[in-house]
Amino acid sequence: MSLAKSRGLNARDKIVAGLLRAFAWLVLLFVLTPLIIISAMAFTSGEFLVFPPEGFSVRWFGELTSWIGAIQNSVLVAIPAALIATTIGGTAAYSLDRYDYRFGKALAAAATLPIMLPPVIVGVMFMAFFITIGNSGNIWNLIIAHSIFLTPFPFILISQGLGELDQSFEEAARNLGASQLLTVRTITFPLIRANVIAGFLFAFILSLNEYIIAWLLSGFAIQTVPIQIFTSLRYNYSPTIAVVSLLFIVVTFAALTVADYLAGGLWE
Amino acid sequence: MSTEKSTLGERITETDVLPRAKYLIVSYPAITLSLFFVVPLLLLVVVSTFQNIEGGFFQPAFTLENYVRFIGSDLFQGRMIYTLRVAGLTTVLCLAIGYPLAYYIATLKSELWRRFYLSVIVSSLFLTFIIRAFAWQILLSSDSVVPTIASAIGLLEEPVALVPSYFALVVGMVYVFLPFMVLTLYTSIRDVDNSLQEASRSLGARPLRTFREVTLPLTKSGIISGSMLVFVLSLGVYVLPRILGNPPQWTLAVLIGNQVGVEGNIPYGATISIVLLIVVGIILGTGWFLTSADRRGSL
Repeated sequence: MSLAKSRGLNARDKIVAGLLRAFAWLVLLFVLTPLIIISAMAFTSGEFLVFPPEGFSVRWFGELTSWIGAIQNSVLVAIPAALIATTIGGTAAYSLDRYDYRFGKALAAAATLPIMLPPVIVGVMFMAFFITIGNSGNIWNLIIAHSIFLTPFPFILISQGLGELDQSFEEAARNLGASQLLTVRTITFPLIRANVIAGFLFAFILSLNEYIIAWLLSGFAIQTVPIQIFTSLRYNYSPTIAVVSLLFIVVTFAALTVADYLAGGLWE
Repeated sequence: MSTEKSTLGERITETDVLPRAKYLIVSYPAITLSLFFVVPLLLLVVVSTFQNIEGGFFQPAFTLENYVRFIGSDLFQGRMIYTLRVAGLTTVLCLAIGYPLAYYIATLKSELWRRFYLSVIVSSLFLTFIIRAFAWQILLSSDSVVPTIASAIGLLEEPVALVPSYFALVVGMVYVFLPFMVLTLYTSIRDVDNSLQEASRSLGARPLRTFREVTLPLTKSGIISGSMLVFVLSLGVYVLPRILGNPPQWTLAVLIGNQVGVEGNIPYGATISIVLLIVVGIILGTGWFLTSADRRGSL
């Protein structure tokens, strides 16, 4: 309902509507400027990260080679972590949607809570845990910590998908003699595929971007992209940081667009 | 449950090849979450009573020494209060900026424009805090955009670096948490039944009055949940104070990270974590109580 087109508007109301629009554009500028600045810095020809950039060049893209190890580690953590988070979140969502358990509420809480905790606390919690069981500085610790931390995303998205699902399709399959497993594979999963993939992608993006848990659990041995950016910010101030950031912005946006499209407009 | 309509899973279990499917399926998430979430969380409480051993290890002690140290320490008390203050300021600013924006987007007629605005708002949401803080570090440094503009319009006498500072920290925090506020408020404003606003207007109330007396009260629970969300997330920031602030701007989360990652004192880090968790719990509990009271009241 547009304000300006309602009946009986006087000058004051029009001014208010105009101010509101101007304000909205100002906030938009505030949101976009930092991202644009970083993208611009990636193409500087100067030696340092200063704005405005000194000239145009793509030479810092060549420096990406020193980041390959970190990029590899980030992906090696994010893919299994997102997969595990999706299986935990997915099975939790499916069982809670289909059956009643005495501990149902507790399970739902355990599958939602991790993302509400401050990440630094999640990091300390897993550090204490892995030291107690005598296994620290291992990449699997990081994968496990990220899977648990990010389980809420697939859990919430898949629960939503199952909630909106018309169960008569599954009932038909079952009545025709399909086993539960076959029904899930051929009916349920295809119907909620978009939610499952969106949940996976969100977990994947967030794992790629997560810093503090990764740093605490890496034991100085495993370098991920956010860890290397943070270290570089303190020691050298090379424009390569802007190049890597640009790469991250592009990957994050691409994955987000796909996830948003699959989930059918998450915020509409 | 079985007294009324049974669930699909229960209706068809008799014919199932796996009669225990109900428990088989749930065992995977239940076991993984117990083992890797509930156990570590309980362990955190236990470890907070342990004694630190040099080199990042600890031994069972079952003392409250760490808690006594926290309560007796002016430094940590001061950081706790500072953290709450920064989180409070961030929340107020996010609400003040976020509400008009969310209202503007939600009342746009064109779906295309709504999607455009939301995409922009969401666009930065998933990008690591490090890159976003880094962007502000560049924007606020002495020969850069913000100081240059500020001195040109007379806000600063000359373009000096605005980072690291309290100001930079607050700007960075509002920047990263604004999307959460806008999305929560947007959903809440969109949910308001349009006919109520129509009714108010056709009865002669002008837009501002309609907003004050109809829309604002109806979006109260959105305001509460958005504020709770931003406040709780703000309490946990680690990266922003490190990049945009100096030690005077460090929050409790930075102290936890330092205790554990730098000093190697996990038991004390666990103690501060528990204190912070209790504060988060109290806030979430209050928020839940307020919004559920609101839901009951509106029925």
